[in-house]
Amino acid sequence: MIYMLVDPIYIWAIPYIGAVLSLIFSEISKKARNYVAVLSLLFSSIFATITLYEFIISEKPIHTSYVWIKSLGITFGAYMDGLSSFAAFLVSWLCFFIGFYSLKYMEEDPGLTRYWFFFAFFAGSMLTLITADNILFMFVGWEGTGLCSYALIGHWFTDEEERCVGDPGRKALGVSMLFTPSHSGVRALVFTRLGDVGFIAGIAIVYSVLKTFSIPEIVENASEWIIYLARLGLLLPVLIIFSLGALAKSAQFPFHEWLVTAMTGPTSVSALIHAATMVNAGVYFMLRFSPAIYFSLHGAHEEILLHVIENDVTVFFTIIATIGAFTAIFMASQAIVARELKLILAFSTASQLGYMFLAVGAAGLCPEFINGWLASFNHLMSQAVFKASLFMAAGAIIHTVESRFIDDMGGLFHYMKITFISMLLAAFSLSGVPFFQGFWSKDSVLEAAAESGNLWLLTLGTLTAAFTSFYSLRLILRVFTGLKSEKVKHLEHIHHIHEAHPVMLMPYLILAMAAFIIGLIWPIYGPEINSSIVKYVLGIEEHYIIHEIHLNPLLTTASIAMVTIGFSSSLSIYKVFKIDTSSVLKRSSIARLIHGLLYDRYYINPIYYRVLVNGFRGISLMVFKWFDKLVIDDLYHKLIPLMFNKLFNILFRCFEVPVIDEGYNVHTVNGVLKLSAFIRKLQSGILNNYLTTFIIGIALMITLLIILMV
Amino acid sequence: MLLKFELILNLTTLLLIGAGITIPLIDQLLAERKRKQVGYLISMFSLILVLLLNIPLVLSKEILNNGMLVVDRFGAVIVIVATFSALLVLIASANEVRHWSTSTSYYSLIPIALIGIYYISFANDILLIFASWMLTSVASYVIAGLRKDENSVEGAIKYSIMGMLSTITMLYAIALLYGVSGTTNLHEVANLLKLVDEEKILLAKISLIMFIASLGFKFGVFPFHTWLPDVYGGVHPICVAYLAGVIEILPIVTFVRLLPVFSTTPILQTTYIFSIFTFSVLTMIFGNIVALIQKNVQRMLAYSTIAHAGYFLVGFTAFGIAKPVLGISASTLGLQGVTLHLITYILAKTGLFVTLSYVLRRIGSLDLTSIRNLGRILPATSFSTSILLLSLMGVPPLVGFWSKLLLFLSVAGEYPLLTLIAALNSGISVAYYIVIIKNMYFTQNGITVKCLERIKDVEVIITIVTSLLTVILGLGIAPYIATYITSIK
Repeated sequence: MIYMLVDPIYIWAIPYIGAVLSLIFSEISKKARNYVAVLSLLFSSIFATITLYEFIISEKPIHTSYVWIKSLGITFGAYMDGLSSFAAFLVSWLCFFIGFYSLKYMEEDPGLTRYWFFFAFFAGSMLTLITADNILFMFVGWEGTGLCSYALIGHWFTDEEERCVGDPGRKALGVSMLFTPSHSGVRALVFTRLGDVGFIAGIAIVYSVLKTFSIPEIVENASEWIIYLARLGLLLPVLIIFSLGALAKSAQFPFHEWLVTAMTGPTSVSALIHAATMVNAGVYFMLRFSPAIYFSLHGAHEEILLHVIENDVTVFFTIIATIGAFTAIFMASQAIVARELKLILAFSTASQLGYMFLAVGAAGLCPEFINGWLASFNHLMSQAVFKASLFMAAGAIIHTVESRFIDDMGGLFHYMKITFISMLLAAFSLSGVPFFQGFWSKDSVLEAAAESGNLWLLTLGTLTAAFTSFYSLRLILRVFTGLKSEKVKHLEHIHHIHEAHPVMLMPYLILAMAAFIIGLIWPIYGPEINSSIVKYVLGIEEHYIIHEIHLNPLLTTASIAMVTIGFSSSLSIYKVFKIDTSSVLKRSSIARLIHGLLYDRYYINPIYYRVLVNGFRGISLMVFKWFDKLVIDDLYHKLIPLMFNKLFNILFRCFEVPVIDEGYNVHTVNGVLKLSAFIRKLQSGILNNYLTTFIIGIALMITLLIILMV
Repeated sequence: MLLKFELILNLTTLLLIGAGITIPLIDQLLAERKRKQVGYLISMFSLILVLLLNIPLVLSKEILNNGMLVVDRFGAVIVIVATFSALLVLIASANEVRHWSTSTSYYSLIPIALIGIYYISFANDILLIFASWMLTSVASYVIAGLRKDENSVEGAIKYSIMGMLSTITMLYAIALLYGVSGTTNLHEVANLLKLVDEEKILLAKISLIMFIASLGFKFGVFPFHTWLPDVYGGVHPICVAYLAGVIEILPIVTFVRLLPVFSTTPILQTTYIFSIFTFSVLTMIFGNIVALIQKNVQRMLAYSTIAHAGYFLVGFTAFGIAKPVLGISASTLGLQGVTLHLITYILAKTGLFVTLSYVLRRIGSLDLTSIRNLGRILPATSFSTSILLLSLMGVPPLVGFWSKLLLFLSVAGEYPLLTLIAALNSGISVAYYIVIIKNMYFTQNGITVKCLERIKDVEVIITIVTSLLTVILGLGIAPYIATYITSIK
C-alpha cells in the first residue's frame, strides 16, 4: 500500500471541474471566470508535481482505479509510471504557463467564456489521456482533445481575413489556399478522426483477444494478443491500424495538413495544443505501447511464430521510423519558404514530431530499445519547452505588429529586446546548438537512428537538422533584424510598438531560459532524470539505470556541422548579403517553380480536396439523387401517401357515405317515418272504424288465447 | 277508526255532491257575471275541504274493511292525488273557462267526476266499481265537449259512443265473473276463483280480456285506444287537462283493485301474463311510433298518453309474477311503480295541457311550427314544460325516472324481454318529446319576439307548481311515497 498524498485522478479531474466552474463563474464576473480556469490548471500542476515526487520515491507504479461501467470492465483512474508521471508533470505545467499567458493575450476577446471552457477542458482531456489506466478512458481523453482543438482552432469562427491562414486569393490546382478558422477547425477534426477510426479498431481487436480494456493488462499480456494475431497473419496490419490514431494526431505524413491550417486559432492555443501537448499525444501513444510490442518477442515459444512476429514487428518499426524521418525533412523543407510567422513554427513542430517517431521506430530496430525510447521522450520534453516558448513569443510579436506575415516585420530588435533574447534561446534549442536541451535530445535521436542500422533514417535526420537551423535563424533574422517593413514604420510612427506585457513575457522567457538551463545541467543530472523516466514503465521489464550521457563523437560532429551550415546559409542570405528573395523569384522561373511547390505544400492539400473530398461529395450526391430522392423520398412521401389517399377515398365513397352516413341520417330516418305513417293509418277518424277495432281487438285476443291454449 | 272513516266518507260525498248540485242551481238564481265567480269559488272550496278531510286517511296505520269498501294507504294516497290534481286543473282553468257559456257546468262537473274516483279508490265490490265508473265516465264525456267548438264536440261524441261500447263490455265481463264466482265482493271472488275447475276457467279468461278492454279503453290500451287521439288531440286543452290529469286515475285504480283477483289465481297466471304482456307491447310500440310523425303538439301528447298506457301495463304484468325481484315481491314493486308513475303522469299531463291551453290562448295555434321561440315568448312556462317533458322521458332526478325504474324493474326478473322493449320504447319516446323542446328553444330564426307571459295568468303558476313538484318528488321523496303505499298489506 502506497501512501498517497493526493490521488492522481485529481490531476485530470481538476481541469474538468475548472472548465465547468469557469462556465458558471462567467455569469458572475469576467475576472472570476479567467482566474478560476487558470487556478484549476495551477492546482492540477501542483498535484502533478506532488505525484511525480511520490512516484520517484515510491517502490512501484501508482495505480488508482474506479469502476465506471462494471459489465464492460471499464474503469477510470490513473496509472502513474515513469512515462505518465513525467509527461503529466510537463503537460500540466505547460498548460498553466500558457493559460497564464493567455490571461493577457486573449484580453478583450468577446468569446472568452468559450475559450476558457475549452482550454480547461482540453487540459483535463490531455491529462486524462496521459494518466489513463484504461484504454477506453484514454480514448475519451483522446477524443476530448480533438473536440477542444476543433473548438479552439475555430475560436474566431466569424472568419475575418486577418484570422485566416494563407494568402488571400491564392489558388493551387484550382483549390483555394486561404483557410478560414471555421474550416480549419473542421479539417483538424476530420484528419484526426480518420486516425481515430484506426485507434478504436485496434482497441476492439485487442479487447476481443484479451477481454480487457485495462492498459497495464494489455501491455503485460501483450505477447498473448501479438501471438494470436501473428498466428492469423494479421499482426502487421493491426499494428499499423492501431498506430493510425497516433500518426494522425501527431500530424505525420499523410495526415500533416491539419496542423498547418490549425494556425488560425489564437496563438496561445497553437502554443498549447499544437506545440506542446496535443500533438505529443501520438508520440505518447507510441511510447506507451512500443515497449510491449518490442518485448513481446520474449513470450513466443514456437520457432515459426517467433520468426513471423520478429519480421512483422521489424517492418512495423521501420515503417514508423520512415514516416517520422520523411515527415521531418518534408515539413522542414516547407518551413524554409513560409511567410507567416506561425506557419514556420507549425512546420517546425511537425518536423520535430517526425524526429520523435523516428526515434521510437529506430528504437524498435535496435538491440538496445531503451536508448531510442528515451531519446524520443527527451526530444518530446525539449520540443514542448522550446516550441511553447517560441509560439508564445510569436503571439506577442504578432500582437504588436498586428500582422501574421514576417514581411510586415523586421527591425523589431530595438523595441522587443527581451522577446528577442527569449526567441533566440528557444531557436538555438530547436536548432540543436550545443549545450541547449534540444542539442542533447536531437543528438540522442540521431544516435538511435544510427544504431538502427538504417542509413536512410540517419541521412534524413541529419539533413533535417540543417534545414531546421536554417529556418530557425531565418525566422529570427527576418523578424528582429533587417529593414523595417512599412507596417512597422507606420506603427513606430504612432508609437504602438512596445515590448510585450509582463504577464505575456514571463512565461515564454521562463521556458526559453529553462531550455538553456536544462541543457547546461543535462550532462550531470540527465542520467538521473532518465532513470526516473524509465522506472517501472509498462512493458519494460528490467530496471534500467542510466549512468551517463554519452554521445557518438562522429554523429555529434555531423550534427554540429549541419547546424553551422544552416546558420551560415541563413545569415548570409538574410544578414550579410541581404538578398531580396522576391526579386530572385521574379527573375528565375526555376526558383518560382521550386518556391511554388514548397509554398503550396507540395500540392498535397489540393490533391486531397480534389480527389478525396470532391470524389466523396460526388458519390454522396449521386446516391442522394438516385436513391434517397427517388427510392426513399418519393416512395414514402409521394407513392405511399398517394396509394393510401386513393384507398381511403374509395372506402369513403363506397362505404362510409352510403352505408354509415346515409344509413344513419337518411335510411333509418326515412324507414321509421314510413313505418310511423303506415301505422298511423289505423287512425282513420271514422267512429265506426273505431268501434269495429274495439270489438275485433277483443275477439282476436280471445281467439289467440284459445288457440295458444294459455 | 271505521267510524271516523265513515264520517270522512260521508262528509266528502256530501261536499262533492253538494258542490256538484249547488252550482247549477245557483246558475239559475244569480246574475251572469256573478254565477261564474260563485260557481268557481264553491267548487274550489269543496275541493280544498275534501283534500283536508282525507289527509287523516293517508296517515292511518291499518287497513279498514267495510265489506264494500277497503281503506288502505294506496287508496288514500290516490284520493289525495286526485283531489289535488282536480284542484290544480280548476285553478288553472279559471281564466279560460270564465269566458265559456258552459262554465258553470264545468265547475259543477269537476266535483261530481271526483266522487266516482273517490269511491273506486276504496272499492271492494264489483258493483260499486261499476257504479262509480259510470258516474265518472259520463261526467268525463260531458267535460270533453264543454267548449262546444267543432273538435271538442266531435271528440265528445266519439268518446261517449265508444264509452258506451266499453260499458257494455264491462257489464258482460262483470256478468261472466259473477257467473264463475257467484259473488260480487272482490276478496271473495279472488278466493273463489282459485277453486274454479278447468271448464269454467275459460269464462274467467274471457272476463279478464273484456275487463282489460273496457278499462284499458279509458286510458288508451291498443286496440281500444282509437278515440284517444281524436279526443285528447282535438278537444280544448284545458278540458283535456282534466281528462288526462284526473279522469285517467279512474281506470288505473280500477285495474289495481281488479286485476289481483285474476293475477293471484294460479290457473289464470299464464293467461294473465300473456294478455297483459301482449297489450303492453302493442300499446307501447303503437303509441311511440305514431307519435314520431305528429305535427300537432296536442295530438303528439295524446299518442304519448297511449305510450304511457303501455308502461302502466308493464307494471300490471308484474302483478302476475310470483318470483320476488331484489327481495321484494314483484307485485309490490309493480304496484309501487304504477302508483308513482300515476303521480308522474298526472303532474306532467296536467302541466302540459294547461300550458297548451295557455299557448292556445296567447298564440292561437298548437302546431310544432307555432311553438317556435316559445322559450322567449313564454319563458317560465316553457321552462316548466321542458321539465315535465323530461320527467315523461324518464330523466333523473325527476320523478318520472323513479317511476319508470320501478315499473321496468318489477318485470326484469322474470321477463327481461319486456323490460328491454319498454326501455327501447322509452328511448324512442325521447325523439318526439325532444322535438317539442327543440322547437321551443332551439329554432332561433332571428325574429324578435315579445314576451307575452304575465304572472297573473294562473296557467303559468300551475305549470310551475307541477314542474316544481316533479322535481321535488324526484329528488328523493318519490321512493318514500312508493314504499309508504305498500308498507302495510
